[in-house]
Amino acid sequence: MTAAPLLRLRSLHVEIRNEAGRVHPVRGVSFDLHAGETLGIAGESGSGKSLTLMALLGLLPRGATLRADQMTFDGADLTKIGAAQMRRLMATGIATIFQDPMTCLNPVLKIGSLLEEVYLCHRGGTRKAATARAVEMLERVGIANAADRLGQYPHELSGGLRQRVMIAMALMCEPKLLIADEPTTALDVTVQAGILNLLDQLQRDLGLAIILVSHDLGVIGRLSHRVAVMYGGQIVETGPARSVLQAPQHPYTEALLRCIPGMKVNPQSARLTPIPGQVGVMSGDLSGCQFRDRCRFAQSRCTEADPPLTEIASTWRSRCHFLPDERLVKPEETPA
Amino acid sequence: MLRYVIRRFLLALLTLITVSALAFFMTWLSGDPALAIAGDTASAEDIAAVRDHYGLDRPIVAQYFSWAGRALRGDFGVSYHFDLPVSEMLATRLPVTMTLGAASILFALALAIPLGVLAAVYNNTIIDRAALTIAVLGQAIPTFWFALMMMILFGITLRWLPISGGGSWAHYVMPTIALGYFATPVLMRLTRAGMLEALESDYIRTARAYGLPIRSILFRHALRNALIPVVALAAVQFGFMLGGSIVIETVFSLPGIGWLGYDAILRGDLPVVQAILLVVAGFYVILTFLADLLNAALDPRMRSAG
Repeated sequence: MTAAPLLRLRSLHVEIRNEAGRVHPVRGVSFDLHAGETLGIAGESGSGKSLTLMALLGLLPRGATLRADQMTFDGADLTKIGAAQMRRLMATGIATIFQDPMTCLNPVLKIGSLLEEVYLCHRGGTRKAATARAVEMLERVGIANAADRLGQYPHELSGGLRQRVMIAMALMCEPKLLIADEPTTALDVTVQAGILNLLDQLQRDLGLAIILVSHDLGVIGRLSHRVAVMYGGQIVETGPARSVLQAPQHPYTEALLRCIPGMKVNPQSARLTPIPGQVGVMSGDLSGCQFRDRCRFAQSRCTEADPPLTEIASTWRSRCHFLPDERLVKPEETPA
Repeated sequence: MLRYVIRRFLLALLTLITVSALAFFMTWLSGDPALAIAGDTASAEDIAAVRDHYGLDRPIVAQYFSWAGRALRGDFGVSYHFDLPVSEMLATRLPVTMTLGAASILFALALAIPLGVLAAVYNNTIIDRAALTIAVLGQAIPTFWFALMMMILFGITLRWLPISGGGSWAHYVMPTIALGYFATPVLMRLTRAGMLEALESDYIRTARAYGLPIRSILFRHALRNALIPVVALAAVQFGFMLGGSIVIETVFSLPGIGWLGYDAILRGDLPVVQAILLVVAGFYVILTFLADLLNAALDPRMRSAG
């Protein structure tokens, strides 16, 4: 993969100012994504993963500002292009599917009109051509009786079907990058598998690049070539999916994996270990390792210095002061 | 959907029956009607004669049923004062009130929806405050005072519009503004709230993530959702305007049922008061029923729900 990456992000920061003060939820996120590659971004709510994507899409909430050393997609500098150009890039370059297909499709518009509008808006042409395209895409995502579905409203479809409609909408204008923000979280487990298979299939057939965001490393492991684990607004570990999931280098990655049944890190897979505590609020003094309060290996150094992003192997990095064999488990604290 | 319609219809019917009873009995609370008809100077015999003539000596419940039975057939009795069938009087007056009500609600919507959208889009800015101020003034200013001020400015000083009567469309302009302006704040605030909610919603985020033009996002995606409750409220407000027209019609001497009702109350003309109460309340109930149906027609989610 020596070609220029499709997406390049260097040192992205997002800050939010409100009445309560200043929050700094994304702090220097960098990654590359090549055409046809799937990057899984993992992390709990509040880790900054969603805001990173919203920054990419120009959809940050009011009061939030971003700065980045570099943010390019397909040759275009996302930090410099105007609103009109950014709009054109949506759907035709980057298409997004969201977590909850119940609320993400407009309840008062029919499936057909939702899909057609995206096509007409970016590709123009006749309504008839747009309808034909909509039917084609609905079939593509495995929806039977596609032509009949056009006249239905979102609420008339099941959750799984709605997410397929969402994916069909994403494909309307042949994007190069598909961002899937927790695409299966709101769905039943059986339906989840179908959606993940579909995404896998589409990527292979269409050569899509995918950013798959999930708190579930199991879901990410299914599809991703590479993984980036986020915590406290930073990437704490990134590397080839297989390596990271089999031999996690960062204590947080390991802790996340311990929460999933059937993962290799769990010696007796029946026993799952929750991560104590909660994700901190990203304001005030943010020096040192953000995970230290919840980390069973934390030392005084974790408070004193920011851990560097250490190279484990050529494309594998971990943001921890200690390598796995250097760690000492903290003496057991008496619970408060 | 059919079950929904039937249930709503039965509810409306029940309300109507209750309202008719209230309309009938409440007018009795204002005093002895026989006394009002015969006048202050009437002797005891005169009053007794009046009571006998109009059947006012029968048990009140029996009177209600015979009145309600006749009302069902469109017979509201005869006016004590004009000695004319009440239904005929209503037939000539009702179109005036309906025209005023319809024009007022359209005026209110034409003012409230753009203001509401503007306020939501520029939420918490000067524009939002200004839109809210314009709208809220409508409710803060007493209607009759606002009407009088308009009369002074446009009727007397500028001589643009007639200040009383109902002969031409020009006679309706000021009453429409006065009545419509009063209904604007509620509609505007509901539009604003609906737009704010819609603009924060996930489906608007989707529309933005797909690069749809702002015009489509605001009007096709957001406003359509935001207007569902507004339409229903407008229908109810229309009913409210028929009642509210009592003040406006009286101030502008517009010969609708509002003015008629006002006069009838002063004269103790019971059959007219009862008929107007029933008709206005009836419209109100019917409009609320229609608003429910309209809501269902506009919101696809309600159409398939029980």
